[in-house]
Amino acid sequence: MNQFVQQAANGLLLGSIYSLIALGLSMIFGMMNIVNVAHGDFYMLGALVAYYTVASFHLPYAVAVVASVAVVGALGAAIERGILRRVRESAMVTTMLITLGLSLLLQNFSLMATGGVPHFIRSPFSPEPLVLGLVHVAPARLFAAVFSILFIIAVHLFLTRTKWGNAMRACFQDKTAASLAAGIDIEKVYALTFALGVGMAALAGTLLGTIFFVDPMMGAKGMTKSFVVVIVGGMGSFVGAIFSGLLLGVTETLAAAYLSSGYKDVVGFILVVLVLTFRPAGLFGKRIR
Amino acid sequence: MLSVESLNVYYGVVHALKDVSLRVEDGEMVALIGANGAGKTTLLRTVSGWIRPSSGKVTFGGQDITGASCSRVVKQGVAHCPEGRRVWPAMTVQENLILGAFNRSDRSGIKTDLERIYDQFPRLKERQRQLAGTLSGGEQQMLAIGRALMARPKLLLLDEPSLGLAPIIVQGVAGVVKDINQGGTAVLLVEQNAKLALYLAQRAYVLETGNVTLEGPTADLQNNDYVKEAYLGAGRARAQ
Amino acid sequence: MLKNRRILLLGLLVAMVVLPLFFPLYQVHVLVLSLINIMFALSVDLVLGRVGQPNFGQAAFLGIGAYASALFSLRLHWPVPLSFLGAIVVSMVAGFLIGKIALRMRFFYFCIVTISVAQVFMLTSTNAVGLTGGPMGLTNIPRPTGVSSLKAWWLLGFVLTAAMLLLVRRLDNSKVGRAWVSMRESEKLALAVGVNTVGYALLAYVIGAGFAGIAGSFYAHYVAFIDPSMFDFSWSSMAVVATVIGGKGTVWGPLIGGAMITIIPEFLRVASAWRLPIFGLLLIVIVVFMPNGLISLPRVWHNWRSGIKEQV
Ligand SMILES: Nc1ncnc2c1ncn2[C@@H]1O[C@H](COP(=O)(O)OP(=O)(O)OP(=O)(O)O)[C@@H](O)[C@H]1O
Ligand SMILES: [Mg+2]
Repeated sequence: MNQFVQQAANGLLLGSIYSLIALGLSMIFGMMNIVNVAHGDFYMLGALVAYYTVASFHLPYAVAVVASVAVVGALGAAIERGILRRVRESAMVTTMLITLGLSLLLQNFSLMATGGVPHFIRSPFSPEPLVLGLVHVAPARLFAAVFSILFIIAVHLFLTRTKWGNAMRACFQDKTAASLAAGIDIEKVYALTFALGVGMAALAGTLLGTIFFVDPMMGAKGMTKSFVVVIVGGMGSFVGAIFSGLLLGVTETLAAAYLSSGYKDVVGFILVVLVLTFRPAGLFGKRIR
Repeated sequence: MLSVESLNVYYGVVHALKDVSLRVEDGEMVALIGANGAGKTTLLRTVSGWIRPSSGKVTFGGQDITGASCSRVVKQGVAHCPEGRRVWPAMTVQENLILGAFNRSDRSGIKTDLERIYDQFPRLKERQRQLAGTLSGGEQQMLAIGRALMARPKLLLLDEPSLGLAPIIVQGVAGVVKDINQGGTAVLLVEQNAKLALYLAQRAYVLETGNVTLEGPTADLQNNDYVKEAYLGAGRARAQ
Repeated sequence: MLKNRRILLLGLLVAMVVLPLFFPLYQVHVLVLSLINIMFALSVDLVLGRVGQPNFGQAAFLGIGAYASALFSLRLHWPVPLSFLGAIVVSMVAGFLIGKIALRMRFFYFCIVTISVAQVFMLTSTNAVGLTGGPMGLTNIPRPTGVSSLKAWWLLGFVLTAAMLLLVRRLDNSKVGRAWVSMRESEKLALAVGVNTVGYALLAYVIGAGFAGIAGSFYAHYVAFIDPSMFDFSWSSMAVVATVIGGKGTVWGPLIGGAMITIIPEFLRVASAWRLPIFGLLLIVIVVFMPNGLISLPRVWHNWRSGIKEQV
């Protein structure tokens, strides 16, 4: 029983970061109608920027987190302005091909940058686990989970309470009206949305990079995990992404503990198949195709 | 205040506006009438910067705004209340209104304007926390007008505010538009309901397949035989 | 005129078959690999270019074909031609079953489902050590009798590729091809005029799976060694790159693209680490500036020369 509670807790901690990365993907899709195939690569890039900030520039971890989100966010904005803007009205396959190209680019630049060797972001947290009631948690994990939850709340507040957040929602609902009636600069909104979406992936990378290795496989993992979460939770659903992120974290951790760690990554696909069979729009999605 | 000179707009090969010229003076209400597909919406959207003209010139308050971005045009003082209302359905009434003031930064001014609009449209005040998509057509029209007013425009572009509304509601909308104009805001009113438009405005233009075919004070146009035949009672009676 | 062109084409064809026979061995090897990439790109294009869905997991069928063929030969001791046919059947059956599910979905969903399927196969082939040899893969896969020299492989591959190209051409010019075009342009419209979109999409998917199976089986017997990386995303994505830079939805596009992605890196002698980023960049540039691929280059050039601005 203790073992079970411990594993479930580990799963929840991991899952909150899955939610974070998936929300970025969901936001980019929901607002821009773009399937960001390179999402996992931005996640990996985030971890890498943080790693180098700490390892090469000897700056504190906190600075690395901020720097990583800023750098990846700026890169995202630049990519939106430079490339995605040109194909804004095209078929979805077109933008998917472009983000596939981005993925190949980013993935391999990172591979070259690291030489394919796994790295580990050094964080200021002690490896000594904290005891919280029944469960033991590593401080780094606890920090990562709490921080992602706080960030998710912050993004939610941004979208609902601030001028630019509301402008983003308005553009998503009717960009013609946003331009004509309110004079919202939709170019800026698109760049901001993409930057924020990939920034969230980068943040997740900086958080998970202190717990797992930063290696070239990280991008592919980040992509499949976030895709799974978004499909299970329902496209564009905020609550759905949070819930299914946690769900994936817990089921994966339990499967690894009680079934077989080799097949741990299959859990997500089983969830996808189940959801697509019984609730094609996702657990929290509206019925749209 | 607004002057449009020999504007030409194409959609691919469709020549939607052909050398269209038009003026709106300070505080004036001008009507633009015409049948379906005449190019009325195209004209308003070109003024707003949504569509780029292939030639011609748009100036507002002495400044050249041809091909300017929508956000610059709104900042200059031209707000657009689009055809079909187009409120943001999944946002509340209040959020819709406040976003209308997106390009303003005077917090207190925004607040007083919001109160003023709620005074003017008590229905909206009652429903300020309701999602705009759940409002009735008439309420949505009020909201769309209110949203445009929140930009505190010098010129309001109104695209078919009577579209799809019951006659009694149309009366209400007409009253509102009249009040706005009397409050000093110039209005360029696009309408298929020519009778209403000619009644409200001081001057009018008739647009037919991209050409301005007639213009003048509304009193003259109301008595023009062609207008009577094509746009007022006479023609319609025969068509029915 | 037409006759001259025919003769020209025929001459070109003969030259293409015969000339490599005098090439150094390594270059023939590169040409054989490019044939594999062409076959695989053709298979990707059946879904990407005909159905219009982002098929980023086609390596599933490449791997299935390779493993099926290798296992038939190694475990059941079937002769290679029989293993080859068996592999095609297995790939097509798998394509039918997976296509049935995947084609009910669009874009985002289709993409993730096809990628996931490939990953599940990769995990299975890694973990089912008893059957597949696990991460170590399968070695000593037999070659077909009579096909021992590189040149024989070149001829065999050439014939196979040519047959596949001809089949696609035939299909494109038939009722099926017209249905595909109408579906790609607008699925709603195609449905409205009574095209059985699900059926035609499934047909494209199953043929595509069969083609990938051919490429996989050919690869397995040619290289004589396979491992779970046959299912890797990089196989799928390179084939997408090949299809798009050549020109998707055409017969010649995958041919040009498949040859390019194999031969260019060899001639440029770039470090292998640079290949994917270069092709990633090329993919973006082509999609943005020449959405119909290199095959449209003559037309783009002509239009540019005569000042026509193409409406994309
Ligand atoms: N986005 C577009 N693409 C192509 N043609 C268009 C587009 N929008 C309008 N048109 C064409 O331009 C012409 C003018 O259209 P517009 O919408 O300006 O007319 P309108 O006077 O507003 O009509 P209505 O009273 O029906 O709103 C029409 O022939 C229309 O078909
Ligand atoms: Mg109109």
